[in-house]
Amino acid sequence: MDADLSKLLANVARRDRAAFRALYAAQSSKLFAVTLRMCRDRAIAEDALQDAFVEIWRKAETFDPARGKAAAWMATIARNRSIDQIRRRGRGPTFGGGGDEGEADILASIPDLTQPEDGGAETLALAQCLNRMDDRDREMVLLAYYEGYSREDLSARYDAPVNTIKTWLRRGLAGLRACLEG
Amino acid sequence: MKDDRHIDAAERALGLDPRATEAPGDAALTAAWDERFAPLAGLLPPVEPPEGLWTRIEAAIAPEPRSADVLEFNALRRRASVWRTVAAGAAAVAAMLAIWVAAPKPVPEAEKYVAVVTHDENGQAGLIIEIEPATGRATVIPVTAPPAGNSYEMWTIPVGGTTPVSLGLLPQNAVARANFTAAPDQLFAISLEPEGGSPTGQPTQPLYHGRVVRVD
Repeated sequence: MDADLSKLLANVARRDRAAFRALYAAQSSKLFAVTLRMCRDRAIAEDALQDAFVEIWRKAETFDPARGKAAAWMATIARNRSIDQIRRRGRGPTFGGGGDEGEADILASIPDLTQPEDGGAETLALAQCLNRMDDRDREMVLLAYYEGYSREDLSARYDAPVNTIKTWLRRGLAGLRACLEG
Repeated sequence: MKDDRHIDAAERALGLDPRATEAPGDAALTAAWDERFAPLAGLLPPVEPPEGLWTRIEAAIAPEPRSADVLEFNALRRRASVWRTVAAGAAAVAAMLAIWVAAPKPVPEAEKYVAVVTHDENGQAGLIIEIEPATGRATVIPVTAPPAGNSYEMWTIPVGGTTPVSLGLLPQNAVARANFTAAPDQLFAISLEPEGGSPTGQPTQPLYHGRVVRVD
């Protein structure tokens, strides 16, 4: 699967538009899930997805399959372009539990890490190590990753000063790293 | 301290700190965290993006024609001859095209732009738009009439923009004229709409698109 994506990316690097079209067909719904979740607004999420694919087209030649997976490379681009969009334009009304969703549902709707369905080895290892973190620290990492929370957003959510959030997060991330490398 | 660099990188990967200002040597550390976190993205249930998004992306990566105007023009002529065969029945249209093909070097000094809008990169022309910026006049030549009950609607995406702006419906007959201006690289597109035009203000079923090139 990822080998197929790598091959498509290699062809996209050679300006093969048919390969780019195939890459879009294969990954656009996965990446739209990412940008939609971050931006919380369809129009902004569509712009972020467009930015992401334009960047994928332009930078395909910099993708090196020896250094990482194609799907991960594309997901990173989709997240980064979403972050650009939301830092610039703000987010849709359902961010942070506004609108119809209760705040608790934000976390409830984050994929269940205790039973990852898509059980690649990396997914399982990551889920295992995330589950070993303190609940609060894990939540913060997931809110940052999936929802694009900034330290200020987390500070508001956990009613703690930004510096405290920073301390908690860094401690949590150090533990996560130790677990993943252990 | 060495550990700190890894945690800084994790914070950048999460988006808590900007990547733009990271030291070149630290980019690999951030990339390692991108890779570690990426399985999370794969856990989200897929969501289909809207139909029109691919068209927007395709438009955004359209090749820049400026540096290869002459080459581009030859390609336009080749496509035009294909198009002429197709449209052989439409005498008026063929006549219009004949003038255009026979006179590739138009009146000196007057700038002239042509957009040949196609289904895809190598597809046959669906429509030819000639634009004379001096007069703000465009001649739009559709290949075929739209299916009964539908209209062709014309759109442009201004240079640097991403959202199509409607230029209005095309008349049902073969040759239409409208007054508007065009800049090099500006994108034009034609969509198929219910009779009367797009109900949403955005293209319903994009059919053709093409970028404006200068013809000298």
